[in-house]
Parts: sequence; C-alpha cells; structure tokens
Amino acid sequence: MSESYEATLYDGLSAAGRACVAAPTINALEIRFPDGDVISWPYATLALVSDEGDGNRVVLAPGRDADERLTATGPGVFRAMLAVVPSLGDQQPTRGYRMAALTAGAIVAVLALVWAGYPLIKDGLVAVFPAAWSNRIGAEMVNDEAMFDKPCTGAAGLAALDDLAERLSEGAGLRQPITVHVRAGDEVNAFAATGGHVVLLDGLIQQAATPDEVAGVLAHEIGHVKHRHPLKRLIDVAGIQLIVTGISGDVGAVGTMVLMLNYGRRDEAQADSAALELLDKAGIRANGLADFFDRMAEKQKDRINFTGFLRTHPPLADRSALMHGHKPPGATRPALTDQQWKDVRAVCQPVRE
Amino acid sequence: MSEVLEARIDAPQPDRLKAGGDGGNLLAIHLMGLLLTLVTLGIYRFWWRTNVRRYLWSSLSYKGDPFEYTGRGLELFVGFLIVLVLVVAPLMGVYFFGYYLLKSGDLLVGGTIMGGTYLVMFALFGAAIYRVMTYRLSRTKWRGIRAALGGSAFKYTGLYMLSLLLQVLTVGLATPFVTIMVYRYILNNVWFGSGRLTFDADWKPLFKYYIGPGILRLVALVIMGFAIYQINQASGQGDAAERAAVLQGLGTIGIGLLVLLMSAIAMYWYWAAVIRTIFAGMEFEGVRFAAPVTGGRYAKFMIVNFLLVVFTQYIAYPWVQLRILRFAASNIEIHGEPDFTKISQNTALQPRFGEGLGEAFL
Ligand SMILES: [Zn+2]
Repeated sequence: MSESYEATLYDGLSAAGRACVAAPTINALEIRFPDGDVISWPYATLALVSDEGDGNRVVLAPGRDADERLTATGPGVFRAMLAVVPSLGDQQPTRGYRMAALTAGAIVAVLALVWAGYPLIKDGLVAVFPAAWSNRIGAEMVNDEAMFDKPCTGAAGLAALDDLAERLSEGAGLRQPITVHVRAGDEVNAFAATGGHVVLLDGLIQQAATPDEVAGVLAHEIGHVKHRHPLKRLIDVAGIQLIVTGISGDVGAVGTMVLMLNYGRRDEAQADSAALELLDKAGIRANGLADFFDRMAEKQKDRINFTGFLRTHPPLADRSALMHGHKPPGATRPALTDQQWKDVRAVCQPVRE
Repeated sequence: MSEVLEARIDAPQPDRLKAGGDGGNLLAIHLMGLLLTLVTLGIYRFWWRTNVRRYLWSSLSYKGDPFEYTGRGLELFVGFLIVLVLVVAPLMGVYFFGYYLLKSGDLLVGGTIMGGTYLVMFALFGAAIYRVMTYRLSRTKWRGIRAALGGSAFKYTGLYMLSLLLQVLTVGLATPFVTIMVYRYILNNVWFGSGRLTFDADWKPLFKYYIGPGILRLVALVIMGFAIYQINQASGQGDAAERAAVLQGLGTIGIGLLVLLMSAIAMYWYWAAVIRTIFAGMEFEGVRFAAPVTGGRYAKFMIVNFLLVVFTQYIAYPWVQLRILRFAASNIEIHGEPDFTKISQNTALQPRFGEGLGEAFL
C-alpha cells in the first residue's frame, strides 16, 4: 500500500503532461504533485487503458469516457496496480496462448456440433417447409432469365411432356404435380427445382434419339423431386451462405446458381433407382436413360466443351450397367406417340426462328 | 564530403514510434472473436473488430505513451443497421424497380434507373472510404487527446470519382497525379487535438516509378485481350483446330498473367516512393517526417506478409498485423517535437456512429 510510482498526468485538455507520483490508497488512487496538489481517482470508476506490454508501464483513466490519462512507470507497475485494484483485472481482455488454444478448441467443438446436428435440422426443415413456398421458389428459379434462354411455348409439345410427367409420377407420392418447362439453347441438360418444377433444355431434346431417352432423363429428374433433393440443396446453400455472410459481412446473392451445383453421388444413385422404379410403373423401357448416358459420354470424347448433363451428372461407373441390365417387369409401350414426339421436338420451333 | 558527414552527425537523432504487441495475445483475441461471431451468426463481428483494433492501437506508442482506440462494437453495429435501413434497402428497392420496368418492356426508363443506381453505388463507395477513415481517426487518442478527420465525405466522393475517371481516360498513367491529389485532400484534413497536419508534394517525381509497372500492366492486358480474341476467332473451325486454338490461347493468357504479376511486383517500388514522398511532404506543428523505405525492402516486406498469410491459412495473420506496426515504427522518422502545451483537445469533429457505409460497401 505504501508503494508509489513515478507518473505523468495528462489533464485531457492539453497534450502536455505534469510530473507527479501515483500512490494507491484504500479506495482511491492518489495523484500527488511536487507543489503539494493532490487529485484522487476513486477505484470504483478507475479504467485501465493500456496493455500489459513489458509490465513496466500502466495507463489509467478516472472513468471510461474521461479524457484524463495517468501514465505510471516503474518496474512491475502494471501487475502491482492490478493487485491493488482488482476491478482493473476484470477490464483486461482475456489473452495469452493458453486462451488461444482453448478458444480454438471451442471453435472446433461448435463446428462439430453444427456438423453433427445439421442433418437433423435439415430433415426437420424439409418436413415443415410449406409447399406453396417451394412452388414459388422453384418457379422463380426456372424463370431466371440470366440463367436460361427463352421459354419454349409449343403448346402441343408441352402438353405431351406434361402427360409423360404425369404418367411417370403416378403413384410416386409427390406432394405437388410435376410442371415441365422447356428452355431454348444448345446445351444438353436438365434440372429439377423445388415445387416439382423441372427444366429440359431444347439441346437435350434435340440430342435424344428416341422418346424413351427423354422419358429416362425426365424420370431421373422426377427422382430428384421425389427425394426432395432440390429443397435439401437449397437449404445447404442457404446454410453456407448464412455462415459466410455472418463471418465476412458480404451479402452476395445465391440465386439460381443452386441449380448448377452437382448433387452428390448418393443423391444421383437415389434419383437413378427412383427413375427405374417410375419407368417400370409407367411401362417405359429403362434403357432410354442408359442409352442417353452412353451416347453423351461418346460425344464428349471428341468435343472440347463439356456436355452439360454430364457436367452436372458425373458418369457413375456402374450407372449405365445397372440400367442396361434392368429387365422391365411387365409389357412396355413407347414413352410418346409419333405425333407427340414430333410436337416435343418442335416445342422450341417458334423461339428458334 | 566531411561537411555533409558532420551535418548528419550534428543533426539530432530522429524520434520514432515504438511497436510492441504479442502475436499470441492477438491470436487469442481473433479466435475468441471468430468463436463468438460463429455463435451469434455474425453479429459479434463488430465487437471482434473493435477488440482487434484496441489491441493494435495500444501496441503502438510515441514518447512512452500508447495510442488508444476508443471505438465501441455497438457503434459499429448501430452504424451498420442505419446504413442497411436508410441506404442499402432503398437503393435495392430502386434497383429492382428499374429491373421490373426493364422486364416489362420500358427499356429506356428501366435502364436509366438501373444505371443510375450503379453510379450512386460507386459514389457511395467513395464516401464509405472517407467515413471509415473519419470514424477511426475520431476514435484514436493519445495522451487523452483525440485525433480527427475534417473535410467532407461528399467532396472526397467527387475527388474519388474524378480520379477514377482520370485513370480510365489515361489508361492508368494519371495514377501518380491522382495518388498525390487524393492524399493531399485527406492529409490536410487530419487533426490531432487542435494541431493540424499539412501536406504538399509534387507528383512528377513519382512518375518514373509508375511508368515501368504501368506499361507492363498495359502489355499484359493487350496480351490477354489478344488471346481471348484468338479463342473467339477459332470457334466453329472444327473440333481439332478449335482445341489447338484454345490451348494456344490459354498459353498466351498464362504469359499475360506472368507479365501482370511482374507489374504487381514492380508496383512495390512505386508504393515505396509514394510512402517516401508522403512522409517527406507532411508537417505537424513544426515537426517534419521521413520514411526512407526502399522499394526492395518494401517488396520483401509485402511478399513475406502475403506468404505468411497464405501458407498458414491465416493463422499467422495476427503476427502479420503486428509486423505492419513494427515496419511503420522502424521506418517512420519523426524530426523535432511539437510544443505539447499548444496542443489542446478539439471538441468539434466527432462523428456519432460507426463506419456503416464502409460495412456495406468495402
Ligand atoms: Zn441427377
């Protein structure tokens, strides 16, 4: 208690200091000047301004918003002052390597918890997600003009595709009927969005040799819809976005990019087996999808630009074999009539011209 | 020669800032910030930033007294919310209104509105830079005396747009002129208490440092533009020819990137010259400054910083932050000493809220 330290007082009005001595007393810090003046700063409001540094300096203020500063110097003055005024210790931010290690451990624990709990949260969200919202979001996605070319409007072709989709999804237990959209463009690809919206690109229709191939691709996309992959992926992306935005503060758009991301291997396999089931029920040859994959892979060999469907649906080694080896349980009939197939191939005719 | 030597010996040793700080402590602050930011879904970010600044500011001292950062996380948070509600939301509303008009066929009005919002966003970007500097200086104290940035974000925005325009029109050659012009505005508005910083410098000596990297960059852009043109030309010439052209084009782009990298490295010599010029041109209440940093040392410093951050996946970031303080402390010379009795508290120039605009646009 009798300890005192050389110090300089800055009065908060000028940058010039006054030499003094800082002496801790029972409940206030006394600042004594050579001319006999004494100022007293109560411990109750005393604020710690400086860091520990080398420990031989401490800067204090009489209150958190005060402009006055007292810089006391002397061996070990920082610790000594903290020992006398315990409330200063609370103002010292938690620091040190041990703290760093503990915090790093806590971060890992939080991430692990999120990682482990995430599938449960996701399943819960999928279960309660209103159908009307899925539908709105899906419609928004497939109508994104930055993403797709113009919608194709050939009425007969669209009706034929809707019939095919209805035939395929009968008894599949979908929450919403499938809406098939066709978009112009040369890319060979197809997408499933939320709310049962499925997009076929005209390039895919033009590259397909038979209606069975289109039916196969459509069944695969309906398989994604059945397993609610679009909504699950949307939730994934929203979750990642939330974390990225939270940390970086960057409010970027996710938007339709969601459609361009690959599904995982497991999702693709699920969609494939659902497709087989749907095709069987509808009495359509399952070879269509396999033929389509094979031909796309063949084409890809001598082209520089990737074929879209293979980019978003990476060829799985056993996929084609699985489908080729599949025997339909009953009699089959063509996916579309000749007239319907003509209409479907012409669905983008008005837009192309 | 001996005369010069004597003059140097006679001149009093320059004063310097002193940099301290401990990387482990700063790492702990960063990790705690990251943890709480994760847990609060991002809201703690503002307090994280505040804690880091408090540590960095206090790690730098002059004449034995540390600098202080007195900003609060809450100020940053409130500033962010204000900008979100008063600036970002209305701007987005207007933008989407323009988009809606455009989609419903009114190309002229819709396009004008959308272009206008882009222009406003550019201007706000300039204003944001100035607001951030204003806030940080106003929350900087030394010996209990506040610093401040006067001037107006509005004027700075004009200067910012003008400098962008000049740089575009001169394919970058106006950069030295623009650099000095912008610093002249900022630095002449810096206050510490009642003391004011003044700054003047000539941009012309900087030009010879800029011309090398400036030309290299133009060359790189021309090379890459040519490569893209080549690739475009080749499309539709048949598969084999197309593939060959694309490969060749990619090779050319690689060369362009290499030249661009060389230009970026050569720019360190320019920035070192800018630092020397700026410190030589400043005066504060009779005190002069110098920062005799060479291009080579500055390049090494910056490249090491970059490598430290990249190779440790940001774990070394706290050490890099402290390295920057040490680099400043060891390179800035302070010649002379102000009359501290004449520097009093400045009660004007106090922004109320945080750096909201910066939060939204930087
Ligand atoms: Zn798929």
